Amino acid sequence: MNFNAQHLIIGLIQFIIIVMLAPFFAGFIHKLKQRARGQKGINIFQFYINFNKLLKKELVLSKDATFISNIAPYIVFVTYLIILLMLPAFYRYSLLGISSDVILIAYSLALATFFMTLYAMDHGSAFGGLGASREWFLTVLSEPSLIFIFISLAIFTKQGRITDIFYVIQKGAENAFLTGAGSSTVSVAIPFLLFISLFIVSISENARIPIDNPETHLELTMFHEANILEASGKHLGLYEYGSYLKLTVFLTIMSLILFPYMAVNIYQIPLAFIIYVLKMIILCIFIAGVEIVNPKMRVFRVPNILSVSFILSLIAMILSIRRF
Amino acid sequence: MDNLKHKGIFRYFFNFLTILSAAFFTVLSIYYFKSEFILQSSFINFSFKFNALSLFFVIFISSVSVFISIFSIKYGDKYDDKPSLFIYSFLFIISMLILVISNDMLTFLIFWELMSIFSFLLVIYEGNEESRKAGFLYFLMTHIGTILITAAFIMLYLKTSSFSFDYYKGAAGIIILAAAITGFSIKAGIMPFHTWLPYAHPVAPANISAVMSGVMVNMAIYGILKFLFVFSSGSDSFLGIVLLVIGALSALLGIMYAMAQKDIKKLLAFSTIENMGIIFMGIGISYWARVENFQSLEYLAMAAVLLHIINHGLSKSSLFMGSGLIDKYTHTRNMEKLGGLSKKMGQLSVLFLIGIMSISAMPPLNGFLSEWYLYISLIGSVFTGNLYMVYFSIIAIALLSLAGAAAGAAFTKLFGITFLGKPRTANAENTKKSHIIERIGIALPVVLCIYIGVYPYQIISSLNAVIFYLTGGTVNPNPFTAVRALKVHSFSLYAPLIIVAVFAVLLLIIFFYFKIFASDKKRVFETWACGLDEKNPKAQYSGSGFSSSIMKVFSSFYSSVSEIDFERDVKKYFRSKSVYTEEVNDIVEKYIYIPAGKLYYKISEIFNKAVNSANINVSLGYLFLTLIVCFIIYIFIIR
Repeated sequence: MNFNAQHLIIGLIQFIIIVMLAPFFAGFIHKLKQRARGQKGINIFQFYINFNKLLKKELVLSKDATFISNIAPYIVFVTYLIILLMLPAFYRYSLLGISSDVILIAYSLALATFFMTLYAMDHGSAFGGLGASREWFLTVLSEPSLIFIFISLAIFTKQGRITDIFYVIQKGAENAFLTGAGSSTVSVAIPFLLFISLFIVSISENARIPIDNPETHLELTMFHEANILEASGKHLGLYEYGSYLKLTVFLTIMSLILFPYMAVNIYQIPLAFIIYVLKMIILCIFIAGVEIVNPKMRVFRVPNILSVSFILSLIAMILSIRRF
Repeated sequence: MDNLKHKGIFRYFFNFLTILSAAFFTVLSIYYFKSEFILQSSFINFSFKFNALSLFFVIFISSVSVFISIFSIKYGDKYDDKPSLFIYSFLFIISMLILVISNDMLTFLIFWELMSIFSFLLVIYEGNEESRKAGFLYFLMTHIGTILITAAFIMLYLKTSSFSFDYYKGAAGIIILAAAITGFSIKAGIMPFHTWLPYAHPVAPANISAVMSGVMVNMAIYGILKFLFVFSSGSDSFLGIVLLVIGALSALLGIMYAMAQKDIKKLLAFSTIENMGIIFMGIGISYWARVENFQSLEYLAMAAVLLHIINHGLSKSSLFMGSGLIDKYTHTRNMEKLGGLSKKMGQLSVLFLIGIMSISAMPPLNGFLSEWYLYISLIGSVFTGNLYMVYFSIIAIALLSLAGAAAGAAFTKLFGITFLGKPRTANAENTKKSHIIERIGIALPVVLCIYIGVYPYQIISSLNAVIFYLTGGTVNPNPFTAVRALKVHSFSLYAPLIIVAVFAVLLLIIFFYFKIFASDKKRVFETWACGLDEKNPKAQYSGSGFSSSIMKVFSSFYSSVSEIDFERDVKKYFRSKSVYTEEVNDIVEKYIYIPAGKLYYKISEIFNKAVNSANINVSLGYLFLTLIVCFIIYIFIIR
């Protein structure tokens, strides 16, 4: 990989655009869900307004809070930013693409979970402990399939960096499309399986409906919300924005598996950007659709659906091993 | 000892002596690097040799024991009444230091045995029922291990008719290796042989637990490395796969049991089993690749092993020292009785947090580095295309990723329940601040953890000498390009320094953004408790509650017995109390060790009935029979 000033600058611009877009995707899903239920729905840009409002608000800390409460929101937020910095979205290079190892991404997600759950337990509230416990319950179940998804991508393309992984997939698809000849990096089955598997993991990691419902504050249903129940002001703002970023991370990876098209030079960027946004909107519609048609699931039925995701990623890995 | 005026004299003397002798051994092994010498006495010759592997272990043992000695200069003051602790721990550390430089089998076995005996004396140091029971189990298990190791050495002797390690190169066949590995696995606490470890490590004083968990278990790894990479004839690749699978199972089960514990030190002891499993996985891959001639994979997995030895030693010893401080100042190790320690022990909680992040492999700390190397080795072994290795590596990846996530959960529980929230009992509330020397002892390994995690290039290039000694090759010191050798394009991906720098820049940006756009108003108020004004700290989430949902899903790994006891004749909402007890048992212990023990008793009872009778004539008859048998053996076999 070249240390090219152009790549770094476009990588930075790409990062800023994705970070700016993140609340829009979350808001779009929310709006879709509300319209489908027959409600009028929020403004699509409501989450930007919310974030700004939260920054202006007073910060209320618990009497029992320790240094964890002061650092955790920042660490969680910055960890998601770092992961976004590693991801390519519509340009082939990203700013941290040089160190965008797939295992590093998976473990960084665990780091964010670690600090968020410590924050939850910091206030001595039973809700926090419950949220932390459930969050780790989900993480323990979804981490193997997430790592399997990443490693089967790595094995499939013989690359370790996520930027290179998707570039190789894109190249293979391009070649196959132009020449009609299959090569070792073209497959329909593997991305398909990985997509479904990652979709399930995304739903569980991003607190979406069959598994969690971020809109309610009921102790029986809370996963993610219970962790940040005590957060207020800018801390809550950081957590909220962090959850949009996490959603965007997963959606972006899914969009790249779904249709790997990234600009390799500066002239392709407008087209690549439009395709990226289109893909993201389609994925948002998918997620909203799943959220609308499904009721929330019992907690101890969640392992079933996550093990389906694990099995699918295992099959994908076996298929990708067969290719060499 | 009571009449001594200065009670702490033993403590100071022996801790300083440990520090001095650690420094002495380090200097000795650097100065006499690659030379050997023999100490002759009237009946036995002790021969020593300083090679790269022993230098690595000498530096590792000395640095960790120096940290622990600094810690126990102050921590040990509660053991002043019985200063044998300091003498034994000094001898314990010295015997380990000599063990790794010994160059013949008698020296090795003598110091191996001395190490086991001194650690046994330290396990039973407290002298209560629990420690005696644990000590007995430890003594038994460790000697079964020693028997196997001795058997392996005797077989080597028969093969080469020499005591010196120099003649053992390439001499060990599969039977010798199997005996030695089984023997050393018992010491390392690998899964089917781990039962002694969670009993013996927690009952010893915390500074000793730190040495045992951080250093002593690695002596077994030293032995295995010596046998597999120096003595082995190198023909049985399936041994590598066996090690990989056993290691992966240990890693998963170790951390799953760690999650179920209430006792802080017991949790840490189970986590030692997990980390030993991770080291075994690396050794397995490296050995397999050595036999099957995948050189770069071999070097890479070896780098993972050596790095993980260092990382685990540093973080585990710091965590055990921290748990010792918790025990000392709150008088309990049960995390259900703690909570909110972060208020009174602020600096300790920061150190503990970093230790926890390191051991649960959170980037960018050192624990992640070695786990990342192991993942890359696993992916590399998938790329080899060998049918068996591919199959078992995939299983190992699955188990390792599950273990990684479970480690996060277990250590979040440890930190969250112990240090955060409200104090659950008066013990936790009335804790005092620890002494500065104690905290320095913990801070030194923690600082090294951060250093290795963020700037690993130096340590990996130093490790290359050891990797070269064991495997004949080196890895690139830059994790950034370390993996390029795997014949896979650009498989080079982790630059911790860049990540940390970008992290800091982003934090600064957010900080300034918030300075400008966010409100600075802050209010401290009590936690919302649904409008109840009850001040019951027990209403917080408990440690067993934290892990119960995960344990429920993986219930087949545990054999837990839970029981709710309440007043049955009172109606549901009017009961004054209900008692919930839960006991998590080890399945290996329950289904293998206890039946085996029962079987042993049964057989010995039958034997006892048959052989032992009160009749003196029968006994004399047996004596006569024995003589005849001995005579026959002498005539027909020995002569």
